[in-house]
Amino acid sequence: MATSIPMEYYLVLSVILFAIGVVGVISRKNIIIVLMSLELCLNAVNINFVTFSSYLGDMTGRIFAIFTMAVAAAEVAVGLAIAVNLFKVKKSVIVEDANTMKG
Amino acid sequence: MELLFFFLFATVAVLAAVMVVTVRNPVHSVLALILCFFQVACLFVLLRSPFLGIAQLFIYVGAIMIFFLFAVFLLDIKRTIHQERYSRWASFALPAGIIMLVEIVLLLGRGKFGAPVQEQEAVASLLNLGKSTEAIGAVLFTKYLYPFEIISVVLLVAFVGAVVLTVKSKQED
Repeated sequence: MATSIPMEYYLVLSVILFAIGVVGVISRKNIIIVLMSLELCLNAVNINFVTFSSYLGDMTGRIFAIFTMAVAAAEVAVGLAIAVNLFKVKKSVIVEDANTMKG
Repeated sequence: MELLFFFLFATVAVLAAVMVVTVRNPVHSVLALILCFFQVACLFVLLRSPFLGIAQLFIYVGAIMIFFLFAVFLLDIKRTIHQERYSRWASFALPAGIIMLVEIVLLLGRGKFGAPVQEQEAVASLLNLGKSTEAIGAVLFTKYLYPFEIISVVLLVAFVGAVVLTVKSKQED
């Protein structure tokens, strides 16, 4: 069962989602939205992995997509714990308020 | 027909992703990201890997996004809604994103990706969820057993770390 969709379509979609994620990471102030944009980037990478896995007929990409999901879950667990702690200390979820190390 | 569905899922995914970055209310942002992940799960099914689509739904939508929702509810959103959304680097963000997009798309255009989907025995068809899951399991627990064990330890450490981070701050109060 061959698909009629060219591979580039998936790759371009993945690039677009990744770029949107990068823009979100750089431009937003709210730390939760920054973490969510990071998730968007990881998900775009997952699309890339699964696309190559599917089009080259190799299972390795799918396995790595599963690993990426696990790493994303770990990152969210630690990241949100840090965000909650930041809120407790600074009473704010704004990234720029975490500036104690700034000279 | 498949192309039609691809464009449907892709358009909704991109629009939802744009909403995640631009919307003012974090709760709306979380909901838009859930929508985006749903579309990506559908794309995984189109890519003949239904197991990953289901895993995407369970892990991302079921676990990670609920995490985010709880975090949004715990931290106060009322104050942040009325504040400026974008940091002072926002004016660099859009050009940086566009430059990256154009560069990668140009690189993609130079490559040759004409290969059709090879339907090997291990990769099951759309209707055969069991076989695809079997194939992933067969590779995951033989060739990639060692990375699999390592990733489980990474997850354990991360969750213990999250618990330690939150419990410690409670004792200090």
